Amino acid sequence: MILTRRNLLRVVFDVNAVRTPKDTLVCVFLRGGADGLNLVVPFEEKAYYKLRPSLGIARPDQTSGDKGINLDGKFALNPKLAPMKELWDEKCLAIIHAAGSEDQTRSHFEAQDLMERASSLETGVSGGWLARHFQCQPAEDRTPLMAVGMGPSLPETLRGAPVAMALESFDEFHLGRNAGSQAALAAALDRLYGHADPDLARSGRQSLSVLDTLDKMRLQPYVPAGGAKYPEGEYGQNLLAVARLIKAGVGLEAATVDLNGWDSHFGQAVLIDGLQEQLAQGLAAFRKDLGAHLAHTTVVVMTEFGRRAYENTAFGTDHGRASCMFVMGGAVKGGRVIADWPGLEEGQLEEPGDLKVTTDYRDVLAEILAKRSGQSKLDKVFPGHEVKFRGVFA
Amino acid sequence: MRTVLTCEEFKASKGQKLKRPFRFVVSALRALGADTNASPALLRYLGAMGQSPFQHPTPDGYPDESMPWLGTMLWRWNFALALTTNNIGGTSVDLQRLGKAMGAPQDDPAPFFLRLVLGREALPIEKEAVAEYLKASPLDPYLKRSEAVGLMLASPGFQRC
Repeated sequence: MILTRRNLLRVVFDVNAVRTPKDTLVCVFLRGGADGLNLVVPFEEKAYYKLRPSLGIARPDQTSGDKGINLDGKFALNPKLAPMKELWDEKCLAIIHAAGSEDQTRSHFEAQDLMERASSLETGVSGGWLARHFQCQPAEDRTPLMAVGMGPSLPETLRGAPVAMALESFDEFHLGRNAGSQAALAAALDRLYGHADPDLARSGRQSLSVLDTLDKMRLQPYVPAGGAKYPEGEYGQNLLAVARLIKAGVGLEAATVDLNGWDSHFGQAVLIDGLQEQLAQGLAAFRKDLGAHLAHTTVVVMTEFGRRAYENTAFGTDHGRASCMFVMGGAVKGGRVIADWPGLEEGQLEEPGDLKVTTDYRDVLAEILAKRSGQSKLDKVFPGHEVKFRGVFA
Repeated sequence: MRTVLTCEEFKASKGQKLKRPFRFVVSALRALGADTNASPALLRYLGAMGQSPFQHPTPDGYPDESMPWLGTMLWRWNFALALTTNNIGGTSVDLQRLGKAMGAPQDDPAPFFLRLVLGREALPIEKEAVAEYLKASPLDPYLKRSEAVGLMLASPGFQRC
């Protein structure tokens, strides 16, 4: 076979065709430590209202004002997350509460790093947990657009992945800025990489095929399906881009999306009301836009730690321990809050006043990888952690 | 030292390793005598390739093997072409001046730059690929030559060290 660019692309896509379908896993990271007790309110806890006299979200049975949206008689959704109630009712959204890391650090950087690596400092593994997931897969299963980090730089979660790309927009990948010579450059690179050693040859081939795919996608204007309206801002645009990649069938297996700014030490409502709206509108739009593609998509929303159970004097909350996680997807056994609830009463809190972590976030991630991404080597992806599934999926 | 540096094994070990993004970027800047203020416009390429300066991850740093870096090719190409066509803010190259100063033939400087970038005599396939690009590209000669040097930095030969 003559190694033309076209032929190389064909090889890549043939490989694509015989692979078993896996979910696309979308990891949304709420950076800054999102307040789980504000997102999903344990309204049956008297202590909650004692600890948060001004920040507490009113019980759903309250007659007036901004009140929580009842989920299961024990937990309520923050009213700003209203668009997620539809997902809950559709039973494609599960909430895991009192979830977090075993590590006690309250430093954002350390906590985010550890969580993105899904390791403790002692086990000393480096690189992201998604990167290890991909490392554990056979090389021949790798396709160029299997892992994408939405944003200007590759997140720690994907650092070390054999194939992973930071992607800010579809427009930033092109061979040079001169449309006229792009074909000539592609042909030359095709030739050069076709004669390189196998590793570089594969990598070059994949990169050319990514360019080809993105070129094609750029040519077609995109209208989200079902009247989906993504919120303004990077987060919404990134979710839209992920939906586009999923629907284009380019072999996307994992994508990371960030929503930043959850560090609400003071004036919490001002800081995070808008973020909560963005979060919920984004997920609801993503779901609508995906339509039937939801069947092979799983979204997990996580944060590095929750916040203190009691509010501080500046109408904010300080760094705490457990928060909550959201998992949305076609295969999710949704409409449930999964929690080994530790309670908020004195003696139930972890010093100096934090919600205890009763579900290790790795258990949730591991269950997703095992049940939806075909990962059997969980001990390699989460070294030193004994995985316990929480029944997020049937 | 002489014994080590002149032995056959040492010679044979060249080109076995993949440059990590930092080395790739720095070696490209150095090969072309670029002028840079290391502004965010330049550093973002390192971020996109997963090797930002001063972000050395604990506990064991950036990986030493090639596999985790093989996914960065597209960004390397993007960088290479942006560099040689002067599209990175705060960073510039003057290829004409460089060629002149080093005695490159003015009518056809490509073979000179190919040798300069690769640090060795180019393989026939490398010469052909560059020549073909120069023939096929419709750009004006100046831009075409700039892109051709970008192509050399993007070529497999420049990824190895």
